[in-house]
Amino acid sequence: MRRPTSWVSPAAPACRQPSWRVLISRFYGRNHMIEVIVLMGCLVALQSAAGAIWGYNIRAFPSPFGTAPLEIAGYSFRRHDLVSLGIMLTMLAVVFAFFRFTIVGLAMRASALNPASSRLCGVPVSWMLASGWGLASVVSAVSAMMVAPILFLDPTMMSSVLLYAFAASLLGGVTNPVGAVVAGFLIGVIESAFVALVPGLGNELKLTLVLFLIIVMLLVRPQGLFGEKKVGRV
Amino acid sequence: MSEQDQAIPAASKARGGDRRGHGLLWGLALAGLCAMPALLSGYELFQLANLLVVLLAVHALNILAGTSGQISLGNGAFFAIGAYTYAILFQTVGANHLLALVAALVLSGGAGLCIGFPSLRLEGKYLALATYAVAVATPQLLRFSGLEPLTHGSEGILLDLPEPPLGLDMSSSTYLFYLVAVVTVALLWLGNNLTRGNFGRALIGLRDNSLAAMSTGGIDVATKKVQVFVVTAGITGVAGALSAMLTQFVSPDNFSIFVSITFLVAVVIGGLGAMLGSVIGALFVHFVPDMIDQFSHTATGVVFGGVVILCMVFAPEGIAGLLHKLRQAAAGLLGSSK
Repeated sequence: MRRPTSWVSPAAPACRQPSWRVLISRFYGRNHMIEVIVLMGCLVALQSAAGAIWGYNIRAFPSPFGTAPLEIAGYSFRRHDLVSLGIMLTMLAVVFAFFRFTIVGLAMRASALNPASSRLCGVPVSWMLASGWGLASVVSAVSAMMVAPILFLDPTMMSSVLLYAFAASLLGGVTNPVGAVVAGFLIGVIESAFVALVPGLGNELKLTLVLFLIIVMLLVRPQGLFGEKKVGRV
Repeated sequence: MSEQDQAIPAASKARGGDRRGHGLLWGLALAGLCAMPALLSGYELFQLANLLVVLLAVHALNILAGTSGQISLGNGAFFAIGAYTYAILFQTVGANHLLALVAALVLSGGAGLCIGFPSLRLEGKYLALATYAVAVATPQLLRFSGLEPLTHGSEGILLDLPEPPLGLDMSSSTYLFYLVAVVTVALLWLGNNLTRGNFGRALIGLRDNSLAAMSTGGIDVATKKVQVFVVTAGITGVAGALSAMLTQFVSPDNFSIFVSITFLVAVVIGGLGAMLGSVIGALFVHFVPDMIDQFSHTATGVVFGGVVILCMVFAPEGIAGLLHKLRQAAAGLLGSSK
């Protein structure tokens, strides 16, 4: 069997910019409720379409990097883990550099922060937001391809990943991308430690642990580990 | 119409006028439902009871999302907690079914407190995500082997029908229908009253402008938010318990994230902030997937997702909002032709 998603995923961003123009821009920033529902509608439709075409069975997803283990300094690593780690770090660096050092990146940040002023400066805000949307889907498509050999492939494989992603962004501070990355690693370490230290229990309660982390974080430090405390005035 | 007005779902504004007829309407609804066992076949009765349960859960979310403006994708979790509380107490412990129902109310309300208290620091999309996390984690927790003596893991629990108490002379399934009808109407009535009066106005205030509600309205926003979250979680739990009674089976697979998604879809499709919206939404999620299923087995979800998106494009205030607009337009036409 060939990998069905390996050609679909690069196509995803291409579909997504039009999807922004057609759908999301209608609702963006106006009403969270409708935005959430429209995206939920997309989720249900896409998952069901994938299920209808390729079935709901969980499939193996061969790693594109081969299976031979790598020996580094006496430790043996799975080749896939190392290469995907490298890809992820490269991607982070590229995205960071794009937003920090290019004019398009600046325009995108401006459009998200203050659409009205950006429009007055001649920034095509709608296109910028649409491209941001496309960029996000490139990053998620790559991460999905990297995680598929580990989680195996099925239409709903990313629901639990979404949970981890949310926990990481909360832990790192919602608007802090670097914090989110650090927190992502942290959650991985906490989870592995939990599985190793609490044998039998840990493996079954992974999602519950993440949920617990989310709740504790919200109670103790809602601004995230690296976030700044917002002071509101009444 | 000012911008502030537009932010308020049209249907919720229409409330004030027809208040007088309401008591009568509730009575009629209950009487109509009580006549149903004489009119419908066993299967139709079962379907109607299921519809009522969905309506109860949908309306609970409608109070939360429509009136107080908090998006929850976690109500499936409270639904599951209610169902499991009932199943364990009734089947494993052997408690009275009404007692188990009350326990389901209390426990899911308690869970609402545990989850609501921290989550309500978040707003809008982030609250939706936090509650989504709860709903995703729930089935795994129900499968957890440490709880297996209680939950029976993936196998789930088979339930008996509750026996009619006090020597009532009717079949178990008819009794169950009456129970579902009475509990549903009572809770809907309570919920509806909650959204009027002082409490309801406070909720609407914090939905539309929480800063103003806090500063000039003197409303304790945090407390009100938690209160409404707990109450609606409790009602959702009762709906879960009733649904467990009806289907006579609970298992982790019945409480996937799609339960929560279905509730939220029903609320938004039907129309936020009004009873009519909940009714339309419940009818929609109860019948539309079956209707789609009849002509396409494979891609029910594709069509359902598409219908949901189209509804949002053409009726962003829900079908109730659309009806309200049509009625206004019709009234305008009639008025101008006079």
